[in-house]
Amino acid sequence: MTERRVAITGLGMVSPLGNNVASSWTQLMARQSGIAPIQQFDASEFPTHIAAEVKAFQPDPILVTKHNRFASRFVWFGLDAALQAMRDAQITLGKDGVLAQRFGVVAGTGMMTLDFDSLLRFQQTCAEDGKIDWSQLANKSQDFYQFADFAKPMVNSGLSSLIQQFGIEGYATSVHTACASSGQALGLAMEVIRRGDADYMLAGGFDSMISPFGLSSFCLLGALSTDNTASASRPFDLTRNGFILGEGAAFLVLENWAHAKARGARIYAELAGEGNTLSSYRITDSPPDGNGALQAIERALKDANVTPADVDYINAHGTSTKMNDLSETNAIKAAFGKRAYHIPVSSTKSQTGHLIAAAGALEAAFSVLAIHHARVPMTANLQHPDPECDLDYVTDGPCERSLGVVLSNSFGFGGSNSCLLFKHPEFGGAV
Amino acid sequence: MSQTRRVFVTGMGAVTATGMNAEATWQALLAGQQGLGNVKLWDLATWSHQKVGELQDFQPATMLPDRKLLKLISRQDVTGISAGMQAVADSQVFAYRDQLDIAQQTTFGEEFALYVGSPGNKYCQQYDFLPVIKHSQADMQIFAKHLFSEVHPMWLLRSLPNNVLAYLGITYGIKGSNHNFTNHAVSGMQALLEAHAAIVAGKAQRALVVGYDLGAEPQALFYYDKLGLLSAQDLKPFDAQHDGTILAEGASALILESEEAVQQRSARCYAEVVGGRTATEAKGLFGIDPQAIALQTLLKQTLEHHNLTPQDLAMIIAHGNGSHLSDVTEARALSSLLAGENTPVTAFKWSMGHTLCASGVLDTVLGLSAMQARCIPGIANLNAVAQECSNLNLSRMTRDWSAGKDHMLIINRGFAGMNACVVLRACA
Repeated sequence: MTERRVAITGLGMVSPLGNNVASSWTQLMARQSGIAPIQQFDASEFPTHIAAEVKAFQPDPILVTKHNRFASRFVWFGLDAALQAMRDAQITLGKDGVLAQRFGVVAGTGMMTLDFDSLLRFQQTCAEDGKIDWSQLANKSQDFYQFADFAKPMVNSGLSSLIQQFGIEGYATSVHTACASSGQALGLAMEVIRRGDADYMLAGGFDSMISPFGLSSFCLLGALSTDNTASASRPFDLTRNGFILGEGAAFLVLENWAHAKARGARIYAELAGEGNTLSSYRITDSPPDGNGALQAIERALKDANVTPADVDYINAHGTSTKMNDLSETNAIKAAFGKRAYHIPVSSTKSQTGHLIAAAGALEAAFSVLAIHHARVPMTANLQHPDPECDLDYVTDGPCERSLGVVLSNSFGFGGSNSCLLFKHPEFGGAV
Repeated sequence: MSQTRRVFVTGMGAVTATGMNAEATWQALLAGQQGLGNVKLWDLATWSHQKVGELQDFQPATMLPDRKLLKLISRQDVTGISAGMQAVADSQVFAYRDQLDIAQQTTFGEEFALYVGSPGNKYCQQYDFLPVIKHSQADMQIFAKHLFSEVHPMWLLRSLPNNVLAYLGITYGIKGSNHNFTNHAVSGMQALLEAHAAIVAGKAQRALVVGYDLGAEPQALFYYDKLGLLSAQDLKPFDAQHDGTILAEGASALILESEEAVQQRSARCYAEVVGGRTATEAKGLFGIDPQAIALQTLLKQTLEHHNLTPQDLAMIIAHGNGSHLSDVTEARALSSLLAGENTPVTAFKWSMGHTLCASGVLDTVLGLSAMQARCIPGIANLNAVAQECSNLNLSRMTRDWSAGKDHMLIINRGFAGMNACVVLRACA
């Protein structure tokens, strides 16, 4: 049986650079940064008080329904990005033969923790001295109880919002492997179409850890840059010293290639391969030699039936941490040999910050747009070359280049690795 | 790539309120024993709903080989890792690896997948911030100043929803494909289905599948109670007195191997995983379709896809969580599927409680035990079948396995209108 090919026919994003695809891409190409002092709460006394926030976001009015009344900020990002993607693909479930049962969704989601106000009310209700008195919660239950406190942090509440918003009745799941989450979500969605369990998949991710608890957790860990400057996110730079949090969402509409062609859909690119591996090394560190990431790249190439010589651009994970950037560089060198030095490699996190669970989806969408527009994004803020990170990181600015095959890497805490491989829709002449 | 690769279960493990391993949990089920009782981990003496399924013998230092690890993970992670390690030990699959040469061991690790059903974050994990909030209230500047003295620097790592996946990977050098499903109560079953799919697609030769959860935490109990989802009495699937579920903690795990992998090491097989499906009803986070149309469709399509009919099924393990609407809609879907066929139906949650993310894998583990023992455990607290469920062939007694039939169907359901099912076949 011939394996079903997977077309990308819709894109949507809410990013620190813009609240839709066009504005985000334009800002990315214009070398703009989404990083600025945090506005959502007073972060001035945190070691890091800058981040790449989504700005002036208002969800599309069509989304403001009772079904979504308990959506968290990042779920709103996801709903809006998904709506953009559905509109872009010109798909409406129940119309034109698009069956809800053949439409699925996979979302890479964040940690879905309680928001600060909810935990503050909990503390005031039953933990006044910092220790919990459960009898107080029972005594004050009527005053404390808010349905949203249960619905908002429910692990699959964002998935449920997507399902109900679009009337999806097929395959549905949410996944979390930290920063690899939405890259793996796209890979899983591709597999669901390949094996025939769906004809269409909405796939991507949403996240924001720009909250008191999210920012605290990374500050405690010492993972963030404390430079607090616009150039703090500088992947592959010798002076890099940590990442900068971002937030947002991106969704892609994946479609059985034959269906997309039959309905005359615009095909941005083919999602042609995935490499999904575990480093099994340490929780936060990547192996210095690139092990794990290397196998993800090799698997993606094999899965898509292309050779290293076919790859024209790599959208790197490139977090701006010492170990990740070195490990990823070494993985690329191991996978591509001498050719590694001739492949443009850039990290768009230099402009968007790190969207954590949503990073893979946003960067997948940027990779697809790079193919579509024949333009390679740059790595911003790389001014001091690291002798150990000596690839072509596209430091002079975005460049024009015809792209046939593009890789997008995402690596997460816990060691999960995702490498997605996108082909130009006319790559190899096969349309 | 072959679409006809067969997949077998070669190892299993469980940590539940009725036993700290799969065999103890199975024996308790068979003996009609329950592991449910009032909460001991927290002082909820004044609460109206206190009944949960807690682990009776939780000793993390003996459950894990690395005591240092205990400082970096949560209670729920310990159960998940422990169940995974049990399944690995039961299968003896890594003893086989250790006989291989270095190159073969590398390939072995790269072809070993790890699929986990995770509960994500729990309320209790955020209570570490209560002392700093006590000082700061809503003042973020004070919050930031007290943060480093009040909260453990490794808080994030202790709270990662993918800790079980990560640490089992590190422990065994598993380097293949992996996923961490965070989809409420179907997470574990979806992990099983995707691990199966990965092996069928040739993406892996072997897979460790784990589902785990800490269902019985106070704040979750509080909200489930407010929604009317808990029983103050008992978890009574399909019984006329079914009035809610009982939340529980637990974990369960399976080792899956391709036919080729099984033959390589002459492994013992519990059963073949035939396949399964998952889909949503699209009725909202807490909604259920009263007509159960989507569940009916899912079950029928699953059997049809594998050229099976209800006549092929020796047993159906229902989700049977004891809540009225869930039980009734499940009964409606099964009645439609069976269309008069008198297939035995049973459920297991009455014994150890509803372990949420772990429940799908746990029901599979217990179903495999039933398949080995050639019997169908009953619902021991079933007194009078609810009228809406009267079409089902239920029993409170253990029954003989249906002669000449080799398949069983297992159903799993969760929030967001999620349904999932899997079919297993006895090994010849």
